[in-house]
Amino acid sequence: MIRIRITDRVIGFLFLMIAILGFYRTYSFQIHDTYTYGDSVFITPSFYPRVLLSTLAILAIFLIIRSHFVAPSGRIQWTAKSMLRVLLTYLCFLLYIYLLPRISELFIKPGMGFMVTSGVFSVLLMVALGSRKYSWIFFSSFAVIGSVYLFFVVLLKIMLP
Amino acid sequence: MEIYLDAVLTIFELQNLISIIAGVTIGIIIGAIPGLGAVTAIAAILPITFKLDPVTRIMLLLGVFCGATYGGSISATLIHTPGTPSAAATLFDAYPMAQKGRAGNALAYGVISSGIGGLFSAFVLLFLGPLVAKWALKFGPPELFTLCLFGLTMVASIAGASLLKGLIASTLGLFFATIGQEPLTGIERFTFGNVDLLMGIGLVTILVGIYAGSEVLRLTELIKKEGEIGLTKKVSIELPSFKEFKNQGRNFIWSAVIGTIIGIIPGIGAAIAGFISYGEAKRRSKYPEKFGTGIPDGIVASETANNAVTGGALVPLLTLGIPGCPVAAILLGALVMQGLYPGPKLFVEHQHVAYSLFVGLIVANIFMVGLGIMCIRFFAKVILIPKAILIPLIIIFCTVSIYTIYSSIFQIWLFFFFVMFGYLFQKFGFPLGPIALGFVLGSLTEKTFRQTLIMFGGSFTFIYERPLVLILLIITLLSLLRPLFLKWKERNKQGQG
Repeated sequence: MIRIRITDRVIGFLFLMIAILGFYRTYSFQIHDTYTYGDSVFITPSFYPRVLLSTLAILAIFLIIRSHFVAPSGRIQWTAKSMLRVLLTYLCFLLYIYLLPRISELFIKPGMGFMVTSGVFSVLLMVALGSRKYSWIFFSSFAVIGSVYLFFVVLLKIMLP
Repeated sequence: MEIYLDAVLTIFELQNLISIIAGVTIGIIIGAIPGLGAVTAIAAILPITFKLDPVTRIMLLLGVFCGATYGGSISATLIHTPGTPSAAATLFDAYPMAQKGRAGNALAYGVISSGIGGLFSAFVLLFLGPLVAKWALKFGPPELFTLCLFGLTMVASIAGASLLKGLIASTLGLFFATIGQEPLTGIERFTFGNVDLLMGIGLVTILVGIYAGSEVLRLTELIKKEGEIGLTKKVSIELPSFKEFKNQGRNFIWSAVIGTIIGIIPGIGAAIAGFISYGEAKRRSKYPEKFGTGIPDGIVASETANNAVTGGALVPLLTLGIPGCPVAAILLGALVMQGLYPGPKLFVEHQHVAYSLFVGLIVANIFMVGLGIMCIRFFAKVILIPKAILIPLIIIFCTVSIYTIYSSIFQIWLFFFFVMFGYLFQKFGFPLGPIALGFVLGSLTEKTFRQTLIMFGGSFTFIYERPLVLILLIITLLSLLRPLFLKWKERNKQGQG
C-alpha cells in the first residue's frame, strides 16, 4: 500500500496561497472609474473577486486551525497497482491531448486525424488497462469512433481539426 | 390549457421523441454500470447536446436523468451491486428475490415502481411549478441576488461530511466563474494575458471534467480481472399479476409522496429518499419481519421513492433557479448554456420550453417503463462491459464533445486539468457538488449583485427596503445555520448518552 500523506493543513496552506496570489492579481483590474461605476467601490469589477478570495483565505485559515485539533485526515492511499493505473491513464490523457493537434496536421481531411488519434489512443489504453479481449477492443473502438464521427462531423457538420 | 396542448404537440415531434428514447436508453445503460451514476451520465452526455434545439436537448437530459435513476436497480437486482447510490435500498429485497429465481419479477417491480414514482412527481411538477413561478415573478435583481445566495447555501446540504470543505469548494467554484471577461463591462480578470482564457472556463469543461473525468480515474482504481462478474442466466421480465399490483397500491402512493417531497427539499437526494421510504414501508407493513428476504414491498418502496425525486428536484430548479442536487446543478448549466435561466422568468420568456419540459418528463417516464420491460435482456448485458474498455471510450467521448462545443484545444487542456483536480479533490475529502453549484450560480450572483447596487446607488439599503429580500436573507441564514444546529443537537444527544 502506497500512502501519500497530505493533510488538511497542507491543503489549507495551498488554498491560502491561491487566495493571496489571486488577491494580488486583482490589482491589475482595479478600476476607479466613477463615470462607469459611480462612487461605490462595490460595483467595480475587482470587488466581487476580492470578496471571494478573502472568503477563501478565511476558510483556508479555518481549515488550518481545525487540522490542529482534529486527527490528521486527507491521507491519500493507493495500492501500487491502482496508483500505477491512475497515473498511466492520466499520462495517456496528456499524451493524447499533446498529440491530437500534431497528428491532425498530418491529415488533409479535417477530422480524420482527430479520429485516428482517438482510435489508436483508446486501443492502447484498453490494452494498457489489462483488457485482452481484442475483438471487444476493436469493435468498441471502431463503433465509438465511427459513431462520434458520423454524429459530429457528418450530422452536426462540426469542423474538427 | 392551450400552452399544455402546444407542449404535448412539441414533445411528440419526431426529434423530441427520439431524444427522449435515446436519453432513457443511455441513462439506463450508464445507470446499470456499477460506479457510474446519474451525475456522470448527464455530465458525459451534456456536450453532445450543445447543437440541439433547447427542447430536444432538455428532453435528452431528462431522459438520461430518469433512465439512470432507474438503471441502478438492474445491477442491484442481478449482481448485488447498486449501479447508482439511489438503488442502494433496492438491493435489500431485489437481490434476495433474484436469488430465489424471481429475478424477472424483481426487475418488473423495479421498472413499474420507478415509472409510477416518476410519473407522480412529474404531475406534481406540472401543477406546482407554474404556481410557484407565478409568485416568484415579482422578483427583481435584489430578490434574484438573495435567491442566488439562498441557492449557494444548498452547499450546506450537499457538502457531505464537512461543511467547511463544502464551503471552500463552493468558493472555489464561484472564483472559477470570475475568470475571463466580467459580465457587465467585459474587463479581463485572471486571464494572465492568455487570449484563450478571455471566454473563461467553459461550463461543460468544468462539469464534465470534475464529474465524468474524475469518475473515470476513480474507476481505473477499481478495475478487476475480466469475467469476475457472475451473471450467467438469461434474464427476462415477469410482470406481476393485477392482484399483486393492486396489493401494492398504498405502498406506491406513500412512496411516491415521500420521494416527491424529498426531491423538492434541496440537498437530500434519491439515495436517502429510497432508504426513508423503505423504512416507512417496513414500519407500516403487516409483516415487517419479511423485509430483506425478497418481497416486492421493499423494491416498490425504494424504487418508487427514488424515481419520484426526479420531478421533485425540478420544482425548486425550474421555478426559483435553485439546484438542490448535483444533477440539478448540471441541468441548470445545460439550460444556462442555451440562454435559458431557470427561475420565474423562464415561465414568461420561454413558456414553451418550461411546459414542454413538464410534459417531456411524463413521456420520459412512460418510455422508461416501456424500454425497461422490452429491452431488459440487453440492459442486463451492459453490466458485463469490462471497465478497461469503458474508460478509454468515455475519455474520447468527453474530449471530442468538448472540442466540438468550444472549438478550442485549450478547453481540452482545461478539461484534463479539471479531471485531475476533481479526482484529487475527492481524494482529500472535498465534495464536488458545491464546485458545480458555485460555478453555475457564480456569474448570475455577481451580475444581480452589481445590478442591485446600481439600482440603489451603491448602497445596501435594499436589504430593508425590499421586504422579500429581508425574508429571503433570513431563510438563507437559517438554511446555513441548520446543519450547525443539527450537529450541535447530535453532539448534545451523544453527550447525554
